[in-house]
Amino acid sequence: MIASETETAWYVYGVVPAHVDPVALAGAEGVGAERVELVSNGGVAAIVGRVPLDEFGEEPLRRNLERRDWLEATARAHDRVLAEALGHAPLVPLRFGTVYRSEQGVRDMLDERAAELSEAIERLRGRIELGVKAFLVEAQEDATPPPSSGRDYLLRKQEARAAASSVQAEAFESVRALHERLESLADDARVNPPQPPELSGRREPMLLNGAYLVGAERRPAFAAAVDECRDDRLELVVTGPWPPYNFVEREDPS
Amino acid sequence: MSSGLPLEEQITLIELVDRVLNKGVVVAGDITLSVADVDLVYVGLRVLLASVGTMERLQEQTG
Repeated sequence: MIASETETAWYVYGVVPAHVDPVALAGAEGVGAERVELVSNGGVAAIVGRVPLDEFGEEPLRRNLERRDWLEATARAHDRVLAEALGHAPLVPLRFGTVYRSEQGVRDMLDERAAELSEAIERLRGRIELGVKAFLVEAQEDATPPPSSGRDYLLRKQEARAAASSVQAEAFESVRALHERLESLADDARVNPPQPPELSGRREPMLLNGAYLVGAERRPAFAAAVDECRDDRLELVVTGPWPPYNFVEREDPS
Repeated sequence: MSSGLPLEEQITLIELVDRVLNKGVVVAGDITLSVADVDLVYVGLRVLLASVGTMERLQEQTG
């Protein structure tokens, strides 16, 4: 195969201030197992990797997204590059799969959006994203003797239903209090739609799927607040620190 | 609920996809994922998770 210019594409991971030392980022291996580099323009720099167009071109990219192994490996690589960069500089993550056919394309994008990107970088400086999910823990059914009559059976069913709905109401109240507490410690917060059981992989209903933008110095206080809100009805799962994926687009007004 | 490793790995993948593919700044690259592309990824993950869940339930029953 004859090598040519068109076979390389520029995959963009995110944007950092232009003064970041590229050597600090050079250790991360990218989506195509390439070494990442910086392309600067207008006071900001894109973290990029040169990737083969036959893997990241429009058609191959779409086909590859259907391959679970490819999806997992590249999504992890995208996150890994950003997570490593986050240790050296504030950054704006770009959505997975942003690819340019030339380095000039990347420069032009930076030029067009420099003001907006610089502003976002400053807003995110020194902050991390933490995810908090709350699951409703299902009550264990007590071993009770079998109902003595049809009426007894119906009564028990009614009681069980009333008890379940009051447990749920209490759990919702705890979740609301938890979110308010975490929001007060965070600089910004997002409540995402709960993942349905077929995506969360859990039968318990998800009552909260929150993302919080937290000053790095407030991370211990945030963790302590989560621990204080734990009770036997709610299972709380904390993830992160993540690059601030949830805090770079304007909030959906709907 | 099953604590089988494969399902745990899937859940981590969802968490990753929710952020890496579904969030982040959208800029007009020469190639950019569309909303439809991301939706398709979720459809694929639902199918995959459903089949992993079924497999684990079968294993629980037989094992």
